[in-house]
Amino acid sequence: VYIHTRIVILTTLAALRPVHAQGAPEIVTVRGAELERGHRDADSAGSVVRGARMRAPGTTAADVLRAETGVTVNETGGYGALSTVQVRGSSSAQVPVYLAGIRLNDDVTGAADLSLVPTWLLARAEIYRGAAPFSADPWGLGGAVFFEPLAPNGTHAALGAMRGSFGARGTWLRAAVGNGRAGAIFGIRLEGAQNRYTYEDNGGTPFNTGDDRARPRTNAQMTSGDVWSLAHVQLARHASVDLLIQGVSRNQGVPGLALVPNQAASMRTERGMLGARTRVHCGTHCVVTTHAATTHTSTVLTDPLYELALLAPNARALGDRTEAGGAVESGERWPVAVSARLARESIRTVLDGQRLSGRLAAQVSRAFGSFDHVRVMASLDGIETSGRGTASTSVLPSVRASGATKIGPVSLRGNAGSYVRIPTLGELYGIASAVRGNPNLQRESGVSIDLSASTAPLALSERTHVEFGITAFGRVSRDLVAFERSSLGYVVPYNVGSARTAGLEFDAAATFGRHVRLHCGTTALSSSDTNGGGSVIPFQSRLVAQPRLELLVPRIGLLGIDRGTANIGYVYQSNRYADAAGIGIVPAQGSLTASLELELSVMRLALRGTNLFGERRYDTVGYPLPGPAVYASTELVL
Amino acid sequence: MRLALVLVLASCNVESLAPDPQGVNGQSTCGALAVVRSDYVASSIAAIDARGSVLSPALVPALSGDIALPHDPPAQGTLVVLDRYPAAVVTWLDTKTARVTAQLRVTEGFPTNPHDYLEVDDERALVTRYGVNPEPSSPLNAGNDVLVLNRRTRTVEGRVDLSALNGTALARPDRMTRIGSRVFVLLGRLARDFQSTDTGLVVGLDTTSLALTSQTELSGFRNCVSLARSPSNARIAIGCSGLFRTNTGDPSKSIALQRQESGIAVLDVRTTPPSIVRAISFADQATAVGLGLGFANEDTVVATTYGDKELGLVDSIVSVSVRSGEITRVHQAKRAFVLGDIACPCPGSTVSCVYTDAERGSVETIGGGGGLQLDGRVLLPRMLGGFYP
Repeated sequence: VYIHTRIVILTTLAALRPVHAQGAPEIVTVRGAELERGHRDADSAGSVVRGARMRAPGTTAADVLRAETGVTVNETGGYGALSTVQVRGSSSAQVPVYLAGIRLNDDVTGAADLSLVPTWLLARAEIYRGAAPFSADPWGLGGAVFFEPLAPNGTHAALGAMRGSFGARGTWLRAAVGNGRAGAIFGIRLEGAQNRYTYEDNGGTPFNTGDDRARPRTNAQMTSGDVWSLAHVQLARHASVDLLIQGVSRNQGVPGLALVPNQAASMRTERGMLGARTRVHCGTHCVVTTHAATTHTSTVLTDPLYELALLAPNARALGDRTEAGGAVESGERWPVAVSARLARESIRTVLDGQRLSGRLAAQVSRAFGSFDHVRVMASLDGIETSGRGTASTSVLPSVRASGATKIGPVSLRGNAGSYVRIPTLGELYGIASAVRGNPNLQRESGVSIDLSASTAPLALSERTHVEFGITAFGRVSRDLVAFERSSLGYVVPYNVGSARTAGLEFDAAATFGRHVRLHCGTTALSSSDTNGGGSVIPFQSRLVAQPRLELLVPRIGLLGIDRGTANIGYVYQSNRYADAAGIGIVPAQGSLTASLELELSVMRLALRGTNLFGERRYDTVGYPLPGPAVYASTELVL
Repeated sequence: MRLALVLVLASCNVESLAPDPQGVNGQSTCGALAVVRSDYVASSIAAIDARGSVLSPALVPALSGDIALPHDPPAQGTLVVLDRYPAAVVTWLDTKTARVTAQLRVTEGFPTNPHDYLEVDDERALVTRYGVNPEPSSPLNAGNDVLVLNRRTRTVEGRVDLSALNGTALARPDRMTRIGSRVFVLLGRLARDFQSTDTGLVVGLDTTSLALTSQTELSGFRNCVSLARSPSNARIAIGCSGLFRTNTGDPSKSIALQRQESGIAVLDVRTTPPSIVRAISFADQATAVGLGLGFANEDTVVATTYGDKELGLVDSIVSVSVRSGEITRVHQAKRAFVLGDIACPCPGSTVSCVYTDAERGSVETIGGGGGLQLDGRVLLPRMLGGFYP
C-alpha cells in the first residue's frame, strides 16, 4: 500500500507536465478482426469483449460472458446475486477467472463469483475455450477467462450515476493522472438494488393451479462499495511496474428458494486484492516478468431464523491467497518461456485447511513443416495440503500441444492437452456443518482436444465483409467432484466418475459499411455421463445461440452527438435437464438485450434494456431471474 | 425458413426421462409397498408386492428430492406423498389410475417440513409439522404442531400446538401411528440449530378430541427418529439416533457421544400412559440407530444403524430381542448411507421384513430370501410405505 501510494503521488506530479493530452478511455470498439481472439494465446479458440458492451448500465460480468460463444452462465437472481461461468459444459470450478492477472476462484467451492467482478473498471474480457493460455495458472479444464482493467491513460476525471429497474442504483467517481511514462487511475463506486422483481409461484403444487400466483422476490436486496486503483510506471526504457489495489464490500439478503423465500438471512462479502506486476525487456526477444499478489476474502452468513439449514445462526468462511512468481520468454527461432510460482492459500470455515504450492511451467514453439508454429507446454505443480491433522503431498503434471497453419484464407488451429484440478480446500475439509468435506477426494483430470478453422475477412463487396470460424471439440473427464447428499441432510463431496463432452462452435461475423456489424455465435454441445446407470449431466443446453447486431453511431452535430454505439443481442438456450435422473426440465429460454451509448461533448449517456420479451428464465431450479428491466446512466467526463 | 429454424431449435431440446405413470391394479394379501427412489435431488415412487414383484415401476414418476410416506397406510386406493423440505406439500394419488387427485401446501412462507400423515377417521387427517416458524404471522403458520386436515375438502381445519412439550429444545413432532382410539406421536425434541436436544418423548392424543392423553419420556434417549408398531398392536418401538454433533472436531468422539444417547425403546401401549417394556442402549455398538425400524415379530425388532463416511463405518441391520435386549447384526452394507427404510408389511409370514438397499438398487428381505432389483442406478430406493391398492 505504501509503495502504491508513493507511485500515485509520483505519477500525479508527473502528470503536471503531460507529454500529450489524453482524453477519456476509449469509447468505440476497436476495429480489427471481427472474430477477435485473445492476445495471450493465438492457438486457443476464444473471443474478446470490449468497449460499450462492458460499460452498458446494469451490465454484470455474467451479462458480458453470457453472450459469448461456448460460454454458459448460471445466475441465481437479480443484480448482485451469485453467478458463475462454465465453458464448453465444464463445471465453474474448472474455469479459472482472473482479474488483472489475479485469480478470483476461491478455495471454498472452486468457482469464481462473477457478481464480484467490477465491470465498471474493465477494459476488456478475454475468453479462452478449452485450452487455457500459458500464463493462466492453473490451466483450467474448461478454459480460462481474463478480465483486464482500464489502464491509466492520460488525465481525466469522470463522475457518473446509474438508475434502473428493481431499485438498481449506482454512483461512481473515476480519476486518472499520467502520461506515457507513468500513470495512475483511481475509482470508487457505490451501488445497490432492491431486486423485488415478480415471479410466478406455483406453491410447489403443480397439479393444483388454483394456488398459483405472482409474487415479488423478497430479501434479495444488496448494497455494495467498490474501490480500485491501478498504477503504471515506466521505470526505464525497457522496464515497467503495474500495481493494483481493489477492495469490495457487499451486504445482501439471501433470498433462498422462490418456493420458500427467506425472510432474514443475509450475507456480507468482503474482498481485498493487492497485486504487482513487473516487466523488463532483456533483449530483442527477451522479456522477464514477475508478479506478486495477495487476496483476502471473507464471507459471513447470518441466519437468525435458521432458514439456510446451516445448523448454526452464523457461518463464516475466510480465505487468503498469497503468491509470487516470474517468467522468462526468450528466443526468436525457438521461442521458449519458463515460469515459476509459489503460493500459499488457506481457508477457515468450520475447519481449517491450508495449501502450499509451487509450479514450474515451460513452453517451446517453432515453425515446423507446413505449420506456422507448433507449440508444446508442460507444467508441474507440487502441492502440500494440510488440515484436520492430516497432510498430503501431490505432484500434478499437465501438458498441452498446439499448432497453427494456413491454407489460403483459412487458418487452422489445433489443441490437445491433459489437465488436472485438485479439490479445493472447502471440498476437502468442509464449508459448513451442512456441507462437509472429504479428505479422500482425488483430483479431477481430463483430456481435451479441439480443431478450429477460421477465415480471414472475406470481401463480398467493397463495403461488406464476412468472417467465419468453426471449432470442433471433445473432452473426457475423470474423477469429477460432485456432492452427495446423505439421508441426514448434509452433503459430502465425492468423486463421481467420468464424463464425455463433444461439441461444435460456430462463429459468423459480417460488417456492412462502417457502421453495421453482425455477429452470431452458436454452440452445439453433447455431454454424457460415462459411469453407466443412465444418469445425465444436468444443466447443459444442447444448443446455445447468441446473435448480436452492433451499430456505430456517427457524429451528428445537429444533436451534439460526437459518437455512439447501439447493440441489440439475443441469447437462446435450449432446454436442459435439471437433475441427474433426467426427470426435471429447465425450459428453453432466451433474453433480448438492447443498449445505446452516446457521447455528447463531456457527457456520456447510456440506456440498456434486458429480457425485453419478458421471458421466464431460470439458470438454477428454484431461483427465478428478473423479467424486463431498464437501466440508464450518465457520466460526466472531464 | 422460420419453420426450419423452429424445427432446428426443437430438435435440440431434451425430453424428460421420467416414465409414464402407471397405476396398480393387482391385489396384495397384506397390502403393497410404495418405494421412494431418490438421489435427494429428484425422486420417483414405484410400487411393489412384499413378496417380490413390481406392481408399478412408476406410480409417481417425478417428485422433488425430499419425499416421505405415511407410517400408517391411508384409505384403500389412495397413496399419500409428503414432499417435506422445503415444499411442504401433501399429495393424494389414486393408486389405480396413478393420477393426482389433490395437492395441499401445509405452509405459508416457511418450510414446515411435514414428517407424517395419518387418517384418524373419515373426516380428518393429521400432519406432523417438524419445522418451526420463528416469526409466525398466525398460529396456523407456526409449525411445531399436528395440523388437522379435512379429508373431504382437503383444507386445513386446525392444529394441535405441541410447543408446551418443547422441553429445552423444540417438540418437533415426527412419526405417528394410530392404535384404537389413540394416536401416538413421536417428538424429536431437537433445538432450532440442531445442536442440542432434550429427552425423547412419545405423546398420546385422543382421536376424537385430539386432547393429550399421555406422555412417555424415553429416558436416556435423544433425537428419536423412527417408530414401528408390533403385529398385535400391543407395542410400539421407538428408534433414537442421538445427537449428530458437528462441533467436537473429533469424529470418533462425536460418534461415541452420540451412541450414548442412541437406542431402541419398546413401549407397551395397552396401558395409559404407555410403559417402557425394554430400553436397549446402543452405547456399546459401533454406530447409532438409523431411520429404518420394524417389528419382525412381537418380540423381535429390526433396525438399521448409520455408518459414517469419515470414520469408514458402514451401515448395518441389527435384530434386537425385546425379551433379552440382545443385539445381533444380521446384515452389513459395504458403505455408509445406503440402507434406508425397513417395512414389515406381512407380519408372521415367511417374508416378514424388507429394507431398501441403495448400494444394490434393490429392496431386500431381512435374513436373506432374495431381493427385488429395481431398474436404474440414479434414483435409488430409500423409503418404504404401505398402501392398499
